[in-house]
Amino acid sequence: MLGTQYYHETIRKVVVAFGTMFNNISLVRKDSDGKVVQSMKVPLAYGPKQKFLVRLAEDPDLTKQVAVTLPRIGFEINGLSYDPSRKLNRIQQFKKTKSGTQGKSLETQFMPVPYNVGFELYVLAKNSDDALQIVEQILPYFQPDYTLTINDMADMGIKRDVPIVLNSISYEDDYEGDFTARRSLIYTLSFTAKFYLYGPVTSQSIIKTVQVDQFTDLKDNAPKREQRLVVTPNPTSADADDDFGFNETSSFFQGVDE
Amino acid sequence: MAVNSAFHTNNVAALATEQNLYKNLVAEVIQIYGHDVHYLDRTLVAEDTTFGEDTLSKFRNSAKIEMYVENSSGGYAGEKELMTKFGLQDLSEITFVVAKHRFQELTKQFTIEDATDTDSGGSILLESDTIDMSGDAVTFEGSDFYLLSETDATGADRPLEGDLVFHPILGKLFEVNFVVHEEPYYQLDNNPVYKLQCRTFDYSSERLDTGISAIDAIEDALSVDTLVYQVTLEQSSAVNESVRIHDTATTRGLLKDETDNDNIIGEDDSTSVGESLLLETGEWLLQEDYIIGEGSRLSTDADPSAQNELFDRLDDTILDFSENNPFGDAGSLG
Repeated sequence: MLGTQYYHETIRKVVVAFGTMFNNISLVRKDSDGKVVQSMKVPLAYGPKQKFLVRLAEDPDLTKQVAVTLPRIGFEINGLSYDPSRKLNRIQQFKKTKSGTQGKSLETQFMPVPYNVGFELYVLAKNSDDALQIVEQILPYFQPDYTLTINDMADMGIKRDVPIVLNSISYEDDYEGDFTARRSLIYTLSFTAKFYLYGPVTSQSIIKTVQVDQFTDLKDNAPKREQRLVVTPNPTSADADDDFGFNETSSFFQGVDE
Repeated sequence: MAVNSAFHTNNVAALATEQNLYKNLVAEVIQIYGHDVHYLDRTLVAEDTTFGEDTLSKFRNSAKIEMYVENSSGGYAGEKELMTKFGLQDLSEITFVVAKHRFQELTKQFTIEDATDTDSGGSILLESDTIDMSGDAVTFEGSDFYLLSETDATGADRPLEGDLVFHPILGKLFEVNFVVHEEPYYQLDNNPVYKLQCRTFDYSSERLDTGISAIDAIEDALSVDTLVYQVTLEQSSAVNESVRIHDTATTRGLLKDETDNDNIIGEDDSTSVGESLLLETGEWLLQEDYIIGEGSRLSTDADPSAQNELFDRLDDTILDFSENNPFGDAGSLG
């Protein structure tokens, strides 16, 4: 019943947009005189991946020499949920004319459905100062949201503002315990992106003639008052996205006995 | 009941001869079954006394010494390779055993003091085959001989937590987590070994300048420090504070910044010689190949699993900046 194939890659776009927000975070390290002696961009990656690809990427020739390189940022999706507070009128439609092999057609799409996607952003660092530099460069932008404009339905020429809301921040520092245990210093930032999911696009030929017959079913047929209204574009070769006017004609069909 | 007087003196300590035999036997066993590894001293550069860390630690001094890998029959201990939200992590653990007196010989080596105007360091290594001990009917095996201090070693001359061990056969860099000094437990009233409980190093762009190519290559491959990618001036022996464009032999101009006409000046060192290009904002000019990660396993990526530049490319058709957005301005910073 639902099987019309379509895929607008909306969630993929939101993932890319979210990742882009954090792909240029840098940190510096200063010596005891306050002089910057190291400056680096923090590596960022989407966490969930196929394991064999990770193995091939990070240890292809079995010569991995260290445990991990730090600091680094990872993120992942952690859930989708319907957002009833942003519900739109479900019978309204977007319309757009497009050129195709069969000439121009009119594409229509119902209003999108509001969804929230949750993101978790993880900052892993070896030093507290590195982690704090990263977190302090992120938090001030979220009050508590930061809005991106995303071309989420480019086929229909639709772009939408997508607020990315910072919900919470948690912090984990396993510095206690056995000396052989690894200290993991992780900041976890929880976000919600408020976006819309679009349904399928339907296509139809452009309607170039509208004809209306009025008063055809009056009980009293005498005198007959049928009227026909015909509207066509002017010029008749115009398409829906052209600048055109209308030719309107009306005809009356009066009774035979008159 | 008193202890056996054949092995103990004054009822307190074992005979020094027995202790020496025990110590030398252990050292010899390690030399037979162990491997030569490189022990790297950590140099604290800018210790943060607030957070108790040193983000700029350097590793410049290294010494080759034999160590035995304890319980190696099953390979590494620990969780080994793990898939995590940060990619592949190698959480291997290993315990090295090193003879105490052999290690203390390292600490008694004369080392070259760090100077402010040079990156050189290390210990004084005598040239091989120059020690002629034939007259004393003593021969040395091996080729590495060092000048040693006559000062007696103390308990402080021990492996330190935070130092590194590079095992050239395993090809991995390990950080010393904890040094066990009481195993075996005073069997002859002495403890001839240290056990170094190590795990693979969490590398955070620390400087590795040991002079050993296999170790220094780790920094070259894994560091994301922009310093490695600076555009530097070719000539460092003459005063060269500005980059000049020569038109003719007599006329020349300064290279100007396009936006506000600031000069691009060379960073001065102590001798007023420009070595690197420094913008007035304090940032370095970087080469184009400073690429953190395209996410495509390219060898040009500084981090093979990072996707920084990938997202930067993919967002070209996704993010829209055609209108001012009062609630977000991603991308306005470049």
